[in-house]
Amino acid sequence: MTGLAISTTGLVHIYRAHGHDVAALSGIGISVRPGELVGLLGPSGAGKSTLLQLCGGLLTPSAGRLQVGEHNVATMTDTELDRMRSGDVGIVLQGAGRNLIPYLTPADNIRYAQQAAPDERDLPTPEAILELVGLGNHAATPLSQLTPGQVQLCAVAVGIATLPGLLLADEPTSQLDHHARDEVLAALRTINSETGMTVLLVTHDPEVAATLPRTITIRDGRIASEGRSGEEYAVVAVDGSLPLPPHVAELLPAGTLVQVTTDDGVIRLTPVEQEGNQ
Amino acid sequence: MFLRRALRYRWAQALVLTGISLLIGACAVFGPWFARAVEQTVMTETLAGQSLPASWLLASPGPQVGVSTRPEDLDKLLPNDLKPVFTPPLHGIYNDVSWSIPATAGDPSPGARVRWRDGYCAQLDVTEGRCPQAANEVIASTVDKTTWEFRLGTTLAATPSDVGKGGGRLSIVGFYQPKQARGDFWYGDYPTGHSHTPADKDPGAANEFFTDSSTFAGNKWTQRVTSDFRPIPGVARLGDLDRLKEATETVNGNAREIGVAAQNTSSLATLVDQIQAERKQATTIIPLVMVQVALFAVVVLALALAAVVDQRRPEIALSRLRGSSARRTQRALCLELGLPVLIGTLLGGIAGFALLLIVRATWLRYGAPIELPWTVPAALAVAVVLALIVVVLQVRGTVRQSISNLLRRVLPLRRGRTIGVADLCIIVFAVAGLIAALTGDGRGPLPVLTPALLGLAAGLIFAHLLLPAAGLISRSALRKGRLGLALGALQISRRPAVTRIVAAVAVAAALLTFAGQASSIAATNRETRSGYETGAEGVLRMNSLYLGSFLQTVNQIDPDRHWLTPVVISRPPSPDTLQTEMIEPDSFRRVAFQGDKLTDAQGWQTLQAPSDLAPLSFRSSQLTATVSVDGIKPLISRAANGDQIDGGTPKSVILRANVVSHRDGSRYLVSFPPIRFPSTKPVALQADVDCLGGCDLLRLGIGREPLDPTGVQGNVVISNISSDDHPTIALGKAESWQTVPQLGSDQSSITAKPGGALTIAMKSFGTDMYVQYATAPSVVPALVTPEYHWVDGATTTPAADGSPMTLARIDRLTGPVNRYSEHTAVVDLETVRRLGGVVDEGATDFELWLNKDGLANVDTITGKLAQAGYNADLVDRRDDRIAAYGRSASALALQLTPVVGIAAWVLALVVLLLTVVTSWRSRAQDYASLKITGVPASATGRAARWEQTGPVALAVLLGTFCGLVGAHVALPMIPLFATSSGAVPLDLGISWPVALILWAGGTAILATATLFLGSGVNRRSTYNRIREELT
Repeated sequence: MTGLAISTTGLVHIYRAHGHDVAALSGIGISVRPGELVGLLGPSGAGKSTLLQLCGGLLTPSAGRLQVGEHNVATMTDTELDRMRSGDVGIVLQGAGRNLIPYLTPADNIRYAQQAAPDERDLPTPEAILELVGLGNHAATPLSQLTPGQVQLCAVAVGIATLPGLLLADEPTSQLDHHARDEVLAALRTINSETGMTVLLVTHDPEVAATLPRTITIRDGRIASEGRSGEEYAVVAVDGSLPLPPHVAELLPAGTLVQVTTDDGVIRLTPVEQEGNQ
Repeated sequence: MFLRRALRYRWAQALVLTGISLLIGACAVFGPWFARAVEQTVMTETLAGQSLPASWLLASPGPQVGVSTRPEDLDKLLPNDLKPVFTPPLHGIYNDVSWSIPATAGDPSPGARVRWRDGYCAQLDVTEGRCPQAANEVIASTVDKTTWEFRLGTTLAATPSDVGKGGGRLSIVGFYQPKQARGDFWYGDYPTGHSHTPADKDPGAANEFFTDSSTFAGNKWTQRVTSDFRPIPGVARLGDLDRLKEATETVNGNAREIGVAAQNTSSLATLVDQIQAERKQATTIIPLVMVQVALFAVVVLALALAAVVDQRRPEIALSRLRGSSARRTQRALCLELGLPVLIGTLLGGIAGFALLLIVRATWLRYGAPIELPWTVPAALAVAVVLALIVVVLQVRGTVRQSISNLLRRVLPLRRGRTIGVADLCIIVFAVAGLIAALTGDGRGPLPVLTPALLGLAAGLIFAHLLLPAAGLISRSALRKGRLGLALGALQISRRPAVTRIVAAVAVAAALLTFAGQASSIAATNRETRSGYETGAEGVLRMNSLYLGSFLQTVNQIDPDRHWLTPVVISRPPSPDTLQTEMIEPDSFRRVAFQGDKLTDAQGWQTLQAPSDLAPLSFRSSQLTATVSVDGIKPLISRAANGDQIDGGTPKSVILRANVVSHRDGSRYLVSFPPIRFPSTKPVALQADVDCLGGCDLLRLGIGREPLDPTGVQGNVVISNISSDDHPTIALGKAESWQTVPQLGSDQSSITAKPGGALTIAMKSFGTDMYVQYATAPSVVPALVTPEYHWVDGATTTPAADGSPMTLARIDRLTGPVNRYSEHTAVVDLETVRRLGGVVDEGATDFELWLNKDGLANVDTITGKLAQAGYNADLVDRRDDRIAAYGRSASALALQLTPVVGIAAWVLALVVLLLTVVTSWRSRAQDYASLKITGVPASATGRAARWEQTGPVALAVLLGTFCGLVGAHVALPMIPLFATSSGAVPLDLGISWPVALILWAGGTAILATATLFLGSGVNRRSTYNRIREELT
């Protein structure tokens, strides 16, 4: 199995509520390679979960292009989206309990999730899936008897029940203690490494982000920065715009005229003194 | 795959759905089943209760000599296919004879009936001797033994009455008393029990003589043969009705065709019509009542499913999230919810059957066999399909929402206040039904569905108005610092689920109110109609030859009329003309059923006999009148074409008088000797009268001799009238003498005027003419039933003696006429008594109408009547009629309404509980959050308790109002009686006590429930609750 790539260009999503249009995403452009483990970071309301739901086909983009593997999500019908979710994309919702049928065991929850999988797909057994996330001994344990961390692992297991090419996980470590959080992160890493599945997870926990090989920070519906192996980078957008890191942006209030110069490969930003400026 | 576990996990919801569906199935099945059972019960009880009218009484039409027609020959007239539903034929032969005891020959020959009836001996108590075993042996009644002093061995010479010859000698071998004087065995032709010796005009009569069939074997008798049978109640089914009617109507024609000399006397065809009318009642009321409950149950099912499906939104989202299509998810959820609904509906079929068995054993008293009409499975199938459609529709709407919507815990508020399509459809449907009911001709089922439809429409509209209103109240209360009210109103405004409760409660209250109204109004009308039809609480009937002596006896029994009021009915020969109901106004007002409502005070005053004149009473064997004539001249009459007819010279006039005997009330005509013309001097005329016991002089008049038809006019001056006890009978003023109208009179006239003691001005062409002393009005005031076509001055009604009384209509009838409600003139009994006359026995009934006390003392009254020589029977009781109406199809069907009301309340409570059960966590979390922010527990407590209590109380009030309006619209469509027409109008006015009791009771029950549940929610609103997942 190979992971699915994600590619967005000028992705826009607008929520319409109470007569107002709110742009949750304003021209996002990202590219995730197959088999990557990527974290989406950003403050509340930045648009992380919206991006995740767009990737899962739960929302339809208002504009722009969104490609998940071979699927052009923006133009897919409901049936095609159903088919995509049944085999190619797994989703773990925020709040472990929301991912599970409360009266089923972990194994049955996985079977439930496998019901809609394409017939031609060779599905692993629920026990194998649970083994992968470290719940091999709890296949038949009632959900009510699992710890919160185990419930979250079970939710992750259900998300990968059909061994999709892409796993979208929304805040999988929230409301967990450190130990459970680490277990869940370990499980996601295992899934990513052993199956080659692309994993896109949303988090606002810096500690979690620090453990991820790649992070994308979203702010005000735009890509604010990208982190690679602990280093934070600004990302130049398609239109050439460059969101400044917060500590730089503090020095340059909105409306400041900046002189951009290059000097031997170094790009220099110099604020220009204006009349009336202090 | 996971269906069983899903059902087990939410077993309570499954149970609720099963329960509601069970009610739907039970209603669907029970409605047509019960209707059929009621129809069959009515048929069975009608045939059993009216066995005589239902019977076929076949008899040879005239006397026959010998045995040319045998009783068995008559049996051929009953079609073979109907024989199983009829009793075996009971054969008989009889001959009416005149008989005598040879030793006392010369006496008038009394009449009797000599009869053989198959199996008669088993029906008799043989008090002496034995039953006949050979020809010409007879067994006589013990009454005859006493009357005629028969002994065993007495021989009678009997001759057929119709030919006066033949017959033979009959030997008495025993004496009997019938075991059951009015038993079914006799088919109405029971031994009369009457036996009396000869009187002046009566040769006397004996009770029946029973004999052996061999008596009629020879050719000496002119017997008639009979064959009687009746439909067997319970065996004759509804499916036989048409054939029974057709066979009854065609039997006489068939008899002629096949040459059997017989005629059938049967009212079975009329009974069949009566049963069919009652069937219509059942088929109108029961399905409509049950449809209302079923309709409500369907709505409740829809509301319950909405709550249940709403709770499954996360699971639906999960299914869609894992790639299941909307259709697949819908299918799975429909299966999960449809299964309990299907099982419930099918179980409802069984429950309906069980209910039928219970009802059959109790209300219907096993009056109906267990049948399976095709309507039952059809109704069950419709119920199943309908219930499953509701499931599909409710699931479909939710499943098709977008996944992102499904994932939301709280749906975003829609912009503005929109109404759901389903709610809108229900409102439109209900309003359309209501408009059809109010503006249409009342046909079709919609009008009767008004209570449910109106409750639904008003409830939903109210519920949708409640949300914004609650928002306003909340803001207003918040501004005023009333935190509890503000929070409670806020909770209402943000929870659309409250619309379900409000709508369900409104419909339940409407149905309960309607049920209460229907039940109480029907009962009231049954009691009222029974009262009017009976006349009073009870009616004793007897025969009397004399009105005066009847009234004397009544005065002796109950002089102050504490118990009874006398009523005399005089029937005309033609049923199309008026009959007379003679009443005693004062006692009638007190004793008769709602007697005081017959007319107003002025009406009563006009009805009563004049009381300002004393009668002209005397005791005498003769009357002497001193009379002269004055101004006599011939009177020329004119023919129709105006030509004068000259009849010659008049010769005389005759003074006549009508006197009414005190002894027996009879009225005598007294004719004085003719006054011959020309005579101008006073002459004394004497006439014999039979008035030693006392008489009242009622009328004076002028007659003519038979051979003197010539017209004459002039004055007859009566100077004096004397009797043995009165040298002068004071005739009073001329105004006290009123002309008695002459119907179809010629040009004659008569008036009284001053002069002498009395002067009679006359124009006579031969007809007797009278003036009447005003102790009794010459034109009798009468209250006449409104349907009678009244003609002024030409309408008469028979007096007690059958003679026509000219009426003056009192146009002040304000209520139905008791007991004889059509073609009836109500007149004053005292007036008729004063008019006198020998009672026409065959056309006059004497009745004593009893109030409750009178009925309680009926034995005392009949005992005293018997002492006075009156054989009185208690022929009618109001309670019996109420009981009979209580067994009508209408009454049986309306017994359902209380059950319906209770079922409606149960459903409303189910909705309430379901809504609370599915929303209490979120409500508890809301209140917990408020507590954390510092809102006092007392404020959240008030809010929790009143957020549902307020709307529910208002919904009960609204539903009650809808139920009252619905009852007002629907009840006129419900056939409370088999015959909708009639003189007793239906009283469909609102029963306010019932409405108030049901409203107060309903409010108390539901308010208690919501207060209790609200307190529970508040108790659970702890901090831990906030951390719980809502699923």
